[in-house]
Amino acid sequence: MRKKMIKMQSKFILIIILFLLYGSGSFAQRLGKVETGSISKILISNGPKGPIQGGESAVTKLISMPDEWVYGSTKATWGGSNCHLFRTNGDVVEHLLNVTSELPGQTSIDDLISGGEGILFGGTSTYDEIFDTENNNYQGGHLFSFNIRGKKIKDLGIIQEGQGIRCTVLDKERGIIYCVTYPAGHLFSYHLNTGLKKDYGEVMKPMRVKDMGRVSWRGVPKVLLIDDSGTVYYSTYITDEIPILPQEIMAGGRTTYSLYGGGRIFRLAYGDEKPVFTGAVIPTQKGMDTDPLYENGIASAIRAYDGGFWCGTINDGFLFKFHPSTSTIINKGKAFQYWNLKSLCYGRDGKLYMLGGRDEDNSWLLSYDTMKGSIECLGWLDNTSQCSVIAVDSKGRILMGENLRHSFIWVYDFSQR
Amino acid sequence: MKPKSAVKVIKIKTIVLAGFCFISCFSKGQAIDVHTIQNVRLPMYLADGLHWKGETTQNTNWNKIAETPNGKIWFCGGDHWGTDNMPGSWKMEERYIRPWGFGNTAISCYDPREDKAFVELELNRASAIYSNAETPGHGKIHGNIVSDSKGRLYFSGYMGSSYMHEYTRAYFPKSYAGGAIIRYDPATKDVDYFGIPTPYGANAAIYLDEKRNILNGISVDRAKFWRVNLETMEINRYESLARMSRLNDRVREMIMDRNGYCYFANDVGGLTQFDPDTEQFADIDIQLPGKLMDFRASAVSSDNIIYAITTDGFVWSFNPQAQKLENLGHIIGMPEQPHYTPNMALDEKWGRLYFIAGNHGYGVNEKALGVLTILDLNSKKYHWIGTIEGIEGCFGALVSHDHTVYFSCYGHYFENEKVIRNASGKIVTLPYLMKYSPPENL
Repeated sequence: MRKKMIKMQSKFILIIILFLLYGSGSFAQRLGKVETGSISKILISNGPKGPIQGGESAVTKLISMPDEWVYGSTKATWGGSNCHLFRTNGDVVEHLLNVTSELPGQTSIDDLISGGEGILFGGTSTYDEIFDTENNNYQGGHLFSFNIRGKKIKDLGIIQEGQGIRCTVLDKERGIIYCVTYPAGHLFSYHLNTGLKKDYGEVMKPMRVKDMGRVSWRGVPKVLLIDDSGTVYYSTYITDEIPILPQEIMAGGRTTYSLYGGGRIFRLAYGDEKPVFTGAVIPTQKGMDTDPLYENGIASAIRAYDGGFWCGTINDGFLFKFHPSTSTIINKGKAFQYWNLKSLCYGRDGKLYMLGGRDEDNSWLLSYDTMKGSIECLGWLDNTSQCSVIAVDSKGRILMGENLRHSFIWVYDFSQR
Repeated sequence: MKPKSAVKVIKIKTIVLAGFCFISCFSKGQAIDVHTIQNVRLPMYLADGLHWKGETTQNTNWNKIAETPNGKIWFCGGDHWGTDNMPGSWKMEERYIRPWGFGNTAISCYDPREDKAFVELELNRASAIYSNAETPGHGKIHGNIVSDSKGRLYFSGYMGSSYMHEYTRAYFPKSYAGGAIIRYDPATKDVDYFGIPTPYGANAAIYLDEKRNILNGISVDRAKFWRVNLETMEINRYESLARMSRLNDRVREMIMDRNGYCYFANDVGGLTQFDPDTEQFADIDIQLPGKLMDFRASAVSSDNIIYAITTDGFVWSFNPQAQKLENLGHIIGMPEQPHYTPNMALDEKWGRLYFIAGNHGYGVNEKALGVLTILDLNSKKYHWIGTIEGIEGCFGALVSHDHTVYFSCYGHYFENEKVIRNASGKIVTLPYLMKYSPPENL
């Protein structure tokens, strides 16, 4: 009897060991996953019955507001029709508004910023395929404000006819919203009090790209920065003419090569009529700033406590600090071999949290300890999670919004590290 | 105290409820009896090739199989001998000595007229991959072997652990080059190479839309949907549509119907449909059965009815025209017991689905591993024929024109009633094709 029990016990232990080995093996194969803290997720999409249907939940921005909610915006993808505003507290997602129903023809909220005082400002756009269609009937992207208390939207109008709005920034002092249109790449200002807008002209000649069946325009600034004096900064391309060696010049042929150099930081001071080159160039692997296969520019930015800006690059995924007063660039390097450091936020632990990876790849969570100067790769959330933005919630958790057909808010609680 | 009418209502409700339970038990309550099920042994045909020191190095297969119009069955092995495994009695260092380096796959053909299988070609060679220590070859085919109406075959490679590099790029360019797409014409032995749709990544499913001359597929771990126009060589890549977040890294499937529409299990428990002409996606308002609400194997009838089985063992059908979903019950009649069954074959004329139920890889009833199972679509009744000897895994299945059922398996291989052992006397795991000749009347 005892022998039988021992035999059964041995069998049981063997099964447990096999189970553990099997489990550890399968997880061990997926190296790179975030191992510390806890990760949970909340589905944004409500499925075919809506209000946020499949193809309408790709998150474009997440903004932490003083009412302890994080406000988010979406865009329609792959046949989806509507874009939405929603909010989350890291535990639930609440739908706020179908923006397309208020602003017909707009399928994307490309940017969302805080205006303080319970106000959000946003800019809308539409599918690249529509921009690429001749004689399309897209009227143009709208600026709008959204009152988070009354949940009311106010249309501030179209900025440039037939063009979407890519990115925005607010001069709170003067009540001016600056924005860049897409794909035209014009810089505009919009005065909140008067409703007057001003076109500062083309700040980027967009590069039309067709990649894997999808059209897009590269080079158009993805982010605008503004300092305390109201000077606006962005990165763009300039054209360089490089002399061709005499022995290579063909009879009657060109004497120079045109090179498109990216990552050049320009500024527009308040009152200026035209942006000027600051002389600052974002960090790039030598020689790659003119490479046509890469997009070279600032992917993300957040104010640093010392008045500078923490920025992430598109091409290499470098973290760098830009000091506007001196146009100084300090490269902090990178903690992963991917590229595109696309969103930044501060954690409650004082660290800078970063989201990296291409839009169509699994995204990586990274952190930078500003006190120690140490950069760390925390890993990816899930093998198919493709996040585009990062924010911190009222409990100090890091929220990451996906850009997929059925998107999740991924919640990283590092307090459990 | 409740009034009399209220008590009466409760009684009626109870009777109705009990009635539903009874009907439910009667119709779907059939469950396998693991104590009475018999062992069966079926004819096996080895996926041979890739010999090293006198033994085949192939030990696995995870692919779907195909029948060409001439009645031949196409299947393969895989040496799985790349970065993540080292089967057999060889030393790890021998990976650097073998002529094909890390990982390779040999494709075989079974001819029913001769009742023999032959090795036809090597995937590394066909896709011109110089497998070596830094860039391994195709350790197996994880997706489909597909035949077109002219008998030309399409397939694509896979390498275990490629996903690690796909995620991290940590070892770039020391990585798997990616699942190359090959078209092979057995009549002329001609190989056409169509490139790698997901660089550094493998392919888990490929389906040929012959009308549009487009090959549809999904990558392994990012579950990305892609399609290649075989005429223009244009490639379109879409997002991670094939992911279904209730599963942890187990999404391996997509479905293509007779009209070229593709289907993916989505995060809200239904199906997302891809329109091949507009390239747009739409969610179908249905809820798939089971806890996982997905599919792990599928078959499509000539009148465009989709049959599928979920990772936890629920069989369902979907009529895209009528948008009608039908739950066909659980593979072993134990809805609370997941039973991973990644294979399915459809016999339309006899109205049957065939499975080998229970493979390791997800939740499974250990006592019901490798059970040859038939679902009679007319009576909706399951028949558990027996436990197949030797089998460890089965991922490909089809019914040929003469109602013979073929399963692509790996496990212990029997030859002349004896199990095959290696040079040191150990029983080895080998890939093989298995043949089942079912009775017309069950």
